[in-house]
Amino acid sequence: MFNVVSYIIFLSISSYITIDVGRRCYHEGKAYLKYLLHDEGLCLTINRILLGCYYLLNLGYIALSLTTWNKINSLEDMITVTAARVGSIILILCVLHYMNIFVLYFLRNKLTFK
Amino acid sequence: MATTVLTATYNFSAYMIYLPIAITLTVLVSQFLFKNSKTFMVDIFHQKKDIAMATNSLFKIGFYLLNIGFALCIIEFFQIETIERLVVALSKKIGGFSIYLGVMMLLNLLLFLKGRKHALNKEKMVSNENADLEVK
Repeated sequence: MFNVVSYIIFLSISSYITIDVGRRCYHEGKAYLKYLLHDEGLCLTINRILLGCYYLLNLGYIALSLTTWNKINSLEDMITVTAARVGSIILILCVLHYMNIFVLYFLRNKLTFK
Repeated sequence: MATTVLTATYNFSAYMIYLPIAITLTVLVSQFLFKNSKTFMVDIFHQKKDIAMATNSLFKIGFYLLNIGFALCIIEFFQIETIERLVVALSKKIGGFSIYLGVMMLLNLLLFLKGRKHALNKEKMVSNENADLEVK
Protein backbone atom coordinates (compact mmCIF):
# COMPACT_ATOMS: atom_id res chain seq x y z
CA MET A 1 0.00 0.00 0.00
CA PHE A 2 2.69 2.51 1.05
CA ASN A 3 4.78 1.42 -1.91
CA VAL A 4 2.09 2.36 -4.40
CA VAL A 5 1.52 5.76 -2.78
CA SER A 6 5.25 6.48 -2.78
CA TYR A 7 5.49 5.44 -6.45
CA ILE A 8 2.74 7.88 -7.33
CA ILE A 9 4.29 10.76 -5.34
CA PHE A 10 7.76 10.04 -6.72
CA LEU A 11 6.60 9.81 -10.32
CA SER A 12 4.53 12.97 -10.17
CA ILE A 13 7.16 15.15 -8.45
CA SER A 14 10.13 13.97 -10.48
CA SER A 15 8.38 14.09 -13.84
CA TYR A 16 7.01 17.55 -13.05
CA ILE A 17 10.51 18.81 -12.22
CA THR A 18 12.02 17.18 -15.32
CA ILE A 19 9.40 18.65 -17.63
CA ASP A 20 9.60 22.10 -16.06
CA VAL A 21 13.40 22.24 -16.25
CA GLY A 22 13.29 21.05 -19.85
CA ARG A 23 10.77 23.72 -20.80
CA ARG A 24 12.80 26.45 -19.16
CA CYS A 25 16.04 25.34 -20.80
CA TYR A 26 14.26 25.14 -24.16
CA HIS A 27 13.05 28.69 -23.68
CA GLU A 28 16.46 30.06 -22.70
CA GLY A 29 18.36 27.98 -25.24
CA LYS A 30 16.81 29.89 -28.13
CA ALA A 31 18.91 32.97 -27.32
CA TYR A 32 22.16 30.97 -27.38
CA LEU A 33 21.38 29.09 -30.57
CA LYS A 34 20.54 32.37 -32.26
CA TYR A 35 24.08 33.59 -31.63
CA LEU A 36 25.69 30.29 -32.58
CA LEU A 37 23.83 29.34 -35.75
CA HIS A 38 22.47 32.49 -37.43
CA ASP A 39 19.59 30.51 -38.94
CA GLU A 40 16.18 30.80 -37.32
CA GLY A 41 14.47 27.67 -38.71
CA LEU A 42 17.40 25.31 -38.21
CA CYS A 43 17.93 26.57 -34.68
CA LEU A 44 14.32 25.98 -33.69
CA THR A 45 14.41 22.45 -35.14
CA ILE A 46 17.62 21.55 -33.31
CA ASN A 47 16.24 22.97 -30.11
CA ARG A 48 13.06 20.91 -30.38
CA ILE A 49 14.96 17.69 -31.13
CA LEU A 50 17.22 18.31 -28.12
CA LEU A 51 14.16 18.82 -25.94
CA GLY A 52 12.64 15.55 -27.12
CA CYS A 53 15.86 13.62 -26.46
CA TYR A 54 16.09 15.14 -23.00
CA TYR A 55 12.54 14.10 -22.11
CA LEU A 56 13.01 10.55 -23.38
CA LEU A 57 16.29 10.12 -21.49
CA ASN A 58 15.16 11.51 -18.17
CA LEU A 59 11.65 10.11 -18.01
CA GLY A 60 13.04 6.74 -19.07
CA TYR A 61 15.57 6.85 -16.27
CA ILE A 62 12.88 7.83 -13.77
CA ALA A 63 10.72 4.93 -14.86
CA LEU A 64 13.68 2.53 -14.64
CA SER A 65 14.59 3.62 -11.13
CA LEU A 66 11.26 2.28 -9.86
CA THR A 67 12.60 -1.26 -10.23
CA THR A 68 15.13 -0.95 -7.38
CA TRP A 69 12.77 0.05 -4.60
CA ASN A 70 12.69 -1.44 -1.11
CA LYS A 71 9.64 -2.62 0.78
CA ILE A 72 8.09 0.27 2.71
CA ASN A 73 6.36 -0.43 6.00
CA SER A 74 5.50 2.91 7.57
CA LEU A 75 4.68 6.52 6.76
CA GLU A 76 8.11 7.81 7.85
CA ASP A 77 9.87 5.25 5.68
CA MET A 78 7.73 6.39 2.80
CA ILE A 79 8.72 10.05 3.24
CA THR A 80 12.40 9.22 3.68
CA VAL A 81 12.67 6.91 0.69
CA THR A 82 10.61 9.12 -1.61
CA ALA A 83 12.48 12.28 -0.66
CA ALA A 84 15.88 10.63 -1.05
CA ARG A 85 14.93 9.24 -4.47
CA VAL A 86 13.56 12.56 -5.68
CA GLY A 87 16.68 14.26 -4.33
CA SER A 88 18.99 11.93 -6.24
CA ILE A 89 16.99 12.47 -9.45
CA ILE A 90 17.31 16.23 -8.91
CA LEU A 91 21.05 15.94 -8.30
CA ILE A 92 21.47 13.95 -11.53
CA LEU A 93 19.58 16.70 -13.38
CA CYS A 94 21.82 19.24 -11.69
CA VAL A 95 25.01 17.51 -12.87
CA LEU A 96 23.66 17.39 -16.43
CA HIS A 97 22.72 21.05 -16.19
CA TYR A 98 26.14 22.16 -15.00
CA MET A 99 27.75 20.14 -17.81
CA ASN A 100 25.53 22.16 -20.12
CA ILE A 101 26.75 25.41 -18.60
CA PHE A 102 30.37 24.30 -19.04
CA VAL A 103 29.73 23.59 -22.73
CA LEU A 104 28.41 27.15 -23.02
CA TYR A 105 31.57 28.33 -21.25
CA PHE A 106 33.73 26.67 -23.90
CA LEU A 107 31.64 28.32 -26.61
CA ARG A 108 31.92 31.72 -24.93
CA ASN A 109 34.09 33.40 -27.55
CA LYS A 110 31.49 32.75 -30.21
CA LEU A 111 28.77 34.01 -27.89
CA THR A 112 30.30 37.30 -26.78
CA PHE A 113 32.35 38.63 -29.70
CA LYS A 114 30.38 38.50 -32.90
CA MET B 1 3.60 -0.80 20.96
CA ALA B 2 2.76 2.58 22.47
CA THR B 3 6.45 3.62 22.38
CA THR B 4 6.82 2.77 18.69
CA VAL B 5 3.77 4.87 17.86
CA LEU B 6 5.22 7.73 19.91
CA THR B 7 8.62 7.63 18.19
CA ALA B 8 6.93 7.39 14.85
CA THR B 9 4.98 10.58 15.53
CA TYR B 10 8.09 12.55 16.42
CA ASN B 11 9.95 11.49 13.29
CA PHE B 12 6.98 12.36 11.15
CA SER B 13 6.66 15.85 12.66
CA ALA B 14 10.41 16.34 12.19
CA TYR B 15 10.00 15.68 8.47
CA MET B 16 6.98 17.93 8.27
CA ILE B 17 8.91 20.80 9.90
CA TYR B 18 12.17 20.24 8.04
CA LEU B 19 10.81 20.04 4.48
CA PRO B 20 8.96 23.39 4.25
CA ILE B 21 11.75 25.27 6.05
CA ALA B 22 14.47 23.89 3.79
CA ILE B 23 12.51 24.55 0.61
CA THR B 24 11.44 28.10 1.57
CA LEU B 25 15.00 28.91 2.60
CA THR B 26 16.32 27.74 -0.77
CA VAL B 27 13.71 29.68 -2.71
CA LEU B 28 14.27 32.89 -0.73
CA VAL B 29 18.06 32.72 -1.00
CA SER B 30 18.09 32.03 -4.71
CA GLN B 31 15.55 34.75 -5.47
CA PHE B 32 17.68 37.21 -3.52
CA LEU B 33 20.90 36.09 -5.19
CA PHE B 34 19.64 36.08 -8.75
CA LYS B 35 17.78 39.35 -8.47
CA ASN B 36 21.10 40.96 -7.64
CA SER B 37 23.19 39.01 -10.16
CA LYS B 38 21.52 40.59 -13.20
CA THR B 39 23.90 43.57 -13.10
CA PHE B 40 26.89 41.21 -13.07
CA MET B 41 25.53 39.26 -15.99
CA VAL B 42 24.96 42.39 -18.09
CA ASP B 43 28.57 43.41 -17.44
CA ILE B 44 29.92 39.94 -18.23
CA PHE B 45 28.11 39.71 -21.56
CA HIS B 46 29.04 43.24 -22.70
CA GLN B 47 25.56 44.78 -22.43
CA LYS B 48 23.89 42.02 -24.49
CA LYS B 49 20.71 41.87 -22.48
CA ASP B 50 18.99 38.78 -23.93
CA ILE B 51 21.93 36.43 -23.48
CA ALA B 52 22.67 37.84 -20.03
CA MET B 53 19.14 37.11 -18.88
CA ALA B 54 19.28 33.62 -20.41
CA THR B 55 22.50 32.83 -18.55
CA ASN B 56 21.08 34.24 -15.36
CA SER B 57 18.08 31.95 -15.45
CA LEU B 58 20.25 28.97 -16.39
CA PHE B 59 22.32 29.56 -13.27
CA LYS B 60 19.13 29.97 -11.29
CA ILE B 61 17.81 26.59 -12.45
CA GLY B 62 21.14 25.00 -11.55
CA PHE B 63 21.14 26.58 -8.11
CA TYR B 64 17.60 25.40 -7.39
CA LEU B 65 18.33 21.86 -8.57
CA LEU B 66 21.54 21.58 -6.57
CA ASN B 67 20.16 22.89 -3.30
CA ILE B 68 16.74 21.26 -3.30
CA GLY B 69 18.31 17.97 -4.36
CA PHE B 70 20.80 18.19 -1.53
CA ALA B 71 18.09 19.15 0.97
CA LEU B 72 16.02 16.11 -0.01
CA CYS B 73 19.01 13.75 0.04
CA ILE B 74 19.96 14.57 3.65
CA ILE B 75 16.40 14.19 4.95
CA GLU B 76 16.91 11.00 6.95
CA PHE B 77 16.60 11.45 10.75
CA PHE B 78 17.56 8.89 13.36
CA GLN B 79 14.92 7.59 15.74
CA ILE B 80 13.67 10.57 17.75
CA GLU B 81 12.31 9.59 21.15
CA THR B 82 11.71 12.82 23.05
CA ILE B 83 10.71 16.34 22.18
CA GLU B 84 14.13 17.70 23.24
CA ARG B 85 15.83 15.33 20.81
CA LEU B 86 13.46 16.57 18.14
CA VAL B 87 14.46 20.20 18.70
CA VAL B 88 18.17 19.35 18.75
CA ALA B 89 18.02 17.19 15.64
CA LEU B 90 15.97 19.77 13.73
CA SER B 91 18.22 22.66 14.63
CA LYS B 92 21.31 20.65 13.74
CA LYS B 93 19.96 19.74 10.35
CA ILE B 94 18.55 23.17 9.48
CA GLY B 95 21.69 24.93 10.74
CA GLY B 96 23.89 22.66 8.66
CA PHE B 97 21.74 23.26 5.64
CA SER B 98 21.84 27.03 6.06
CA ILE B 99 25.62 27.01 6.40
CA TYR B 100 25.80 24.98 3.20
CA LEU B 101 23.49 27.49 1.48
CA GLY B 102 25.65 30.38 2.63
CA VAL B 103 28.80 28.73 1.28
CA MET B 104 27.07 28.07 -2.05
CA MET B 105 25.93 31.68 -2.26
CA LEU B 106 29.44 32.97 -1.56
CA LEU B 107 30.90 30.65 -4.22
CA ASN B 108 28.36 31.94 -6.74
CA LEU B 109 29.21 35.52 -5.86
CA LEU B 110 32.95 34.85 -6.28
CA LEU B 111 32.25 33.27 -9.66
CA PHE B 112 30.30 36.34 -10.78
CA LEU B 113 32.98 38.73 -9.53
CA LYS B 114 35.71 36.78 -11.33
CA GLY B 115 33.75 36.66 -14.55
CA ARG B 116 33.05 40.38 -14.37
CA LYS B 117 36.73 41.21 -13.83
CA HIS B 118 37.71 39.00 -16.76
CA ALA B 119 35.13 40.60 -19.03
CA LEU B 120 36.11 44.14 -18.07
CA ASN B 121 39.79 43.38 -18.70
CA LYS B 122 38.95 42.00 -22.13
CA GLU B 123 36.87 45.04 -22.95
CA LYS B 124 39.73 47.33 -21.95
CA MET B 125 42.14 45.34 -24.12
CA VAL B 126 39.87 45.57 -27.14
CA SER B 127 39.35 49.31 -26.70
CA ASN B 128 43.12 49.82 -26.32
CA GLU B 129 43.72 47.95 -29.57
CA ASN B 130 41.16 50.08 -31.32
CA ALA B 131 42.79 53.24 -29.97
CA ASP B 132 46.18 52.04 -31.24
CA LEU B 133 44.76 51.41 -34.68
CA GLU B 134 43.24 54.87 -34.75
CA VAL B 135 46.57 56.48 -33.77
CA LYS B 136 48.39 54.65 -36.55
